[in-house]
Amino acid sequence: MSGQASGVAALYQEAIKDYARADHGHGRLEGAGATVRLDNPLCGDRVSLQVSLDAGRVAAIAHETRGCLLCRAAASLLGKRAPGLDAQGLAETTAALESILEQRSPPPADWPELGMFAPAAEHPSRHKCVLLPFRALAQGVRQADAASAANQGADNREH
Amino acid sequence: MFACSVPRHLPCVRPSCRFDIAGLHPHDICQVLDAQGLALRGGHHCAQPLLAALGVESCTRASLALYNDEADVVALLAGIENAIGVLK
Repeated sequence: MSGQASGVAALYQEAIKDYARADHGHGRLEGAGATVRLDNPLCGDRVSLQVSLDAGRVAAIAHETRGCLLCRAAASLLGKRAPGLDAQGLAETTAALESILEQRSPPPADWPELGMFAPAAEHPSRHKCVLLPFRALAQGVRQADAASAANQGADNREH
Repeated sequence: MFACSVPRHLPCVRPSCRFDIAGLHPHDICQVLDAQGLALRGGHHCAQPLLAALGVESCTRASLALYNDEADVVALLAGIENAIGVLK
């Protein structure tokens, strides 16, 4: 197997395909705190994501992701692991993923699954595919946080 | 065998062919083909409105030029079979 061919086999390893097929978190969320749709206009990947928070942490997430295997695997991973994360935890996880992609760092101990994206480090054009669901969730958490704070302010004014 | 669709109702005015393989994204197909030395383009092709009108989200496109010959087409077909094996 040539170097390029083995690189592609690593890029599309079984873990990536398994997560993409499992599509954890697929669907829509009733009463979501925020709804976000992000596109990668160059390739057509699209993540439509809904999230609800409880005390600043992700209580539930649902997404409908249209895109390549890498994008779908990343969205599925978040569908499985995002519940319980707060904005800070999500930012740290996203930074760890960026470091894997850009500096070939090892995955953090509490997110070993991020290691399945390590072969994408050799393909800069695919980094946005992996990161798109993380960007969508970060935006969703910010929006849900802001909506929650606005509702809290309104409640306080009423009392 | 995977379903592969080619729009047969459109007039062929250029030596290029766009196709879809059910369940596989064009960028993944192109990535695997690229590793085999096959240069195709995948995605919107800067023609989102046309693809939307055709009911297609994105597609893969093979374009032939004067320097391509039958061996290149045979290699492409073998490459597509391999891509299906890698991605499924």
